[in-house]
Amino acid sequence: MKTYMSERVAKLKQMQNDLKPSISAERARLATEAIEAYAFEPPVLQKAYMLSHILRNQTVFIQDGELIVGNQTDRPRCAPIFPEFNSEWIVEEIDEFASRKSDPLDLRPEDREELLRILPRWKGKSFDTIVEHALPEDTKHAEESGVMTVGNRDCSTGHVLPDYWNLLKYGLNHYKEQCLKKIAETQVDCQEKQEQVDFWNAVIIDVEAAGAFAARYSGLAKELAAKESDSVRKAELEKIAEVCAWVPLNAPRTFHEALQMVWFIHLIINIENNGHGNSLHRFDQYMNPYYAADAAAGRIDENQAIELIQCFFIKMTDLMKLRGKFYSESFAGYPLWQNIIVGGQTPDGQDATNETSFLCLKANAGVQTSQPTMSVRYFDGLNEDLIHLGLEMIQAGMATPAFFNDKLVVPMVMEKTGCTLEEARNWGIHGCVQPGICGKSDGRPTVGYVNLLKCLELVMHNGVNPVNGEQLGPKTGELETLDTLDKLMNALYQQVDYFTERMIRGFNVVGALHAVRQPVAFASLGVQGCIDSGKAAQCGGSAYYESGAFAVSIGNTADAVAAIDTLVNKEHKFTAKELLDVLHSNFEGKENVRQTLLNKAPKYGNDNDYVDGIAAAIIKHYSETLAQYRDSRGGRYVEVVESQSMNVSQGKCVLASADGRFACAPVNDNCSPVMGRDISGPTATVNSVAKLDQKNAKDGCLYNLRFDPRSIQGEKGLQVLESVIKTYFNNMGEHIQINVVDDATLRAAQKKPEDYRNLLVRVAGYLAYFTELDNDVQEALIARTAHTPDR
Amino acid sequence: MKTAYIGGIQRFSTEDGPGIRTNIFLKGCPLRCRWCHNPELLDSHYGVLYSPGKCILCGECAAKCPAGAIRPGEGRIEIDRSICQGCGTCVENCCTTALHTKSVRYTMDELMAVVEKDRNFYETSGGGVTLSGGEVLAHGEYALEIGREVKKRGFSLAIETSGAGSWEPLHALAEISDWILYDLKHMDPAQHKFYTGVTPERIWENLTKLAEKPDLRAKIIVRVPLLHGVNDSEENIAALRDFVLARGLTTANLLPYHSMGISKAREAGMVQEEFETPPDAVLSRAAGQLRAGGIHVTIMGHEDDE
Repeated sequence: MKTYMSERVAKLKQMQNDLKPSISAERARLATEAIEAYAFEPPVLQKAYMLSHILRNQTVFIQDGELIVGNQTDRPRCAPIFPEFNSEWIVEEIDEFASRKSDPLDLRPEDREELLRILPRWKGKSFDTIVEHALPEDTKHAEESGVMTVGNRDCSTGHVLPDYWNLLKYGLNHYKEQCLKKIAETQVDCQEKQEQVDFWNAVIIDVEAAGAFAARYSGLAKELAAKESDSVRKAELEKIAEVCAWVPLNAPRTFHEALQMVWFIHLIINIENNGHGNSLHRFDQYMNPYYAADAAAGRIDENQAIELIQCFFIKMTDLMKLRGKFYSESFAGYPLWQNIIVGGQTPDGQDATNETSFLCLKANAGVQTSQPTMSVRYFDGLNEDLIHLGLEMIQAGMATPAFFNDKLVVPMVMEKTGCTLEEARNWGIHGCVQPGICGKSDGRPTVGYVNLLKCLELVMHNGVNPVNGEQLGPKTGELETLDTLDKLMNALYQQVDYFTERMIRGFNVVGALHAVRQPVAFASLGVQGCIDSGKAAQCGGSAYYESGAFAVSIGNTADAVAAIDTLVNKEHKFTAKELLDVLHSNFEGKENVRQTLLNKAPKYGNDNDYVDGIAAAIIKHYSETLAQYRDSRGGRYVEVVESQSMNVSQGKCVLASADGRFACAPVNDNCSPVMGRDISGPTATVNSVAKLDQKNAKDGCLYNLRFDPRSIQGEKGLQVLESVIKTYFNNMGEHIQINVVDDATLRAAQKKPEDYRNLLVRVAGYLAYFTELDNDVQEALIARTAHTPDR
Repeated sequence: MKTAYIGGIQRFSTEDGPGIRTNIFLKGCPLRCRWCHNPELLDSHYGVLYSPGKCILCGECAAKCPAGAIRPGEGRIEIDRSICQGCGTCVENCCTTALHTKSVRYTMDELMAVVEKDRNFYETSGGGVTLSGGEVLAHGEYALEIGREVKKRGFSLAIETSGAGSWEPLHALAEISDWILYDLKHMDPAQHKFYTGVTPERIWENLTKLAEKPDLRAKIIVRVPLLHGVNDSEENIAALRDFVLARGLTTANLLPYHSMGISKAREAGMVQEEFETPPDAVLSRAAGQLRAGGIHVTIMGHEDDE
């Protein structure tokens, strides 16, 4: 397919690709200075002053050729440090960052030295340590076994869906005025009102700091322009100076200004706090009026707009985050889950497709950076040309866009939030597949990951963890007594419930600590409800909120339950004891038993109602269990079937399993069938995954499907792709992303990574450069069944 | 009703008719094309297939075979097919699926249950069901019954045939089908006999008779397996073009040879010789020759020559 990327964008992209990701000490230094100066303030103001100090003092630079400006820290593709969230493990792992297998990050000696000077002062004071001390002992104990995790302890809550419509309409000054007015109207006579005033003051400090930050770029651009000899670049720099003098404080007047403003807001959110999943959501909806006006006035043409958007995408890819050892493996590929979703419906149910929807896809196809994660919102009335463009991109092997299904998501959003139909139709994605109401929701899909296969392992050992012999879960009966499917499932449910309860008790501690210690004003100001209520999103200020909990290894678990039920309980091929012995020995000398487990019981992903039904029942049960709890803000707990690359780390703590999986091997990714076991063609797999009854997973189900390029060539191939997506959506699947790449290409990329640095694959809800992934993750990707015709 | 073995049901078939289709293969064929890509479906009786790559030499099959037809070999097992009774015990007891079969009997309900699973895909892609083989006409009555059931359920029906069979079932199937994929292997009768084991007269006569009826003619897509040095000469393609045009047919699908049949034949205990795939230039020339005559040509279902 024909794509467009200007010479400027190609150069910027090359510059970015040539950089090795790194870490900088600058933000750590500035944050420490600020916290020492403002220690007397309550947390919401401490954090505002900290942001202000950083924005007024961090290094600013404009790279040659850039049109959209604003950097996260003092160097490109460089992760800032947030000592208020983590310090101790950074010191411990400091000499491993550059050499670690997953997501390595370079560290200069001078930065290393400075970090070692600064970070020890935070010992015992960073958020992660405070959470660690506050978490219930039984929660921590359970977590050590790998049966579940409690999330969101080493970073802010993230997942912000700012109201870019109003932000662009009014400019940030308007929010400052609103807060001044609120303060003037408030007679403080209780704790709650004082806290509101503190919050509004924090917003005012943040807005002023954002203005100062932009003014520094305006000044720098002016300086550079004065020195620039090339007249074209000189004019560009003068333009940048003018744009940055106006936004983000004032409402933008052009597409360029609007784009720069969105970038400033998104960037500052990422400087203020290290939460990921901050979303650009319905970019085509809030940006199109500016494009349309510029185009009508002859101020911009299509290629100019695409170039600007591509400059913006390169900036998005520039953002970096430092993660510790565990999460760098579990979230491989430096992901930040910055989503843009195009198409879908207007609040009154019409096709929302506009010129900017096409610009987004074209910009995405042309530049092919790993950020943003681009998706198309599908519904029956969606513009056919937009669908076609998206399909062509997939066919060309770009692994983008993903598709989402309005038919399922709109009612699901209404059900989980209680919002109106009009509000629900304005949903966007934050995180990977989590739908929330743009500008109004504060979803928090960071509760933790329940390892279903580990729960089943505990069922098989009457609650004892076979790894160390201790009683970890409830006693649900010896395996030989669980001689019917009902008994087996009930035992599994008891284990799942037990650890879900521990996870949630832990996460409510985390959530409460975020509210008390880490309320972030800047990220909250754009979310409706926060300024009105005078509360940060962390404190329940947003109009709607919920928390999402993950289910991992649904495929292996359903397969293993089916294998026990079929081969032990029904066909008596071996006894429970024999099965356990074989699993304990990791199939040593018993390959025939492993083969029997693999081949003589049905496997999820092959359109078999029995085993698919087991998977769906587990998903439903987990959702019902979650529904009994409320989060620290009173929001609902909802389910998401997704793993990122947690399927590799959570596989490591489970011994050999009854589905024929070897000890410590990865489990299935997301809601996909176990790697290599969906052998009945893509239609069967798609049917199986749709049968999960995804309405129960109100925070979404992430589905990866890989096609061999040969199977989807030409016009017929486009038709096949469209049919697969439409059928999946008619059967109420939420999300589907399609990788079109053959094994040979991936193998070649492993052998000669330097020749394939551009090769993008979808890992989970995000794209990553294949060659930057750890070998285990690469292997897991290759093992995903590539669907190809049988001849 | 005489049924036959079903030699596989392939879902997500995209090369045998429009849209996404489910292919039902009937086992048994009167032709013996040397390049056959489904050699395991040639005969119509029960057959065991063996993939040594999957075998872990557990010995279960040899121990359980009532005829004693299986014995350990060098890194694999050996099957004495002359004494195999076709009972399926070895397949049933093979833990790895190294021993498997494409000889399965289905009731009509079972067959339709599989077909129904992809109803939504047929609807969104304009696909349906394709009856293939082996040779559908080898079990004409059964094929017709399946075809009628498929049509009754509102699905599009395609048949893929060599035309080597009686006129009556072919005609009846053609009447109810939406698409007729009709193979022409070689235009020289002697060569045809040499490569396929049969002379082409009846095949050609059947096609001629189908093409005489305008409503049937419109359903016909001529399919030509192309093998380098066998049937891809300028002369043979010219003869093919004249033959097709003379019958008012307008669509042809070229299927360049691939060597998949060799390994499948090996699994069935047979040996298949290797042929050559026509070079791209020859493929383009052949397609060009047909197109010059006004025939709409696709190569493996695609418009381009790649």
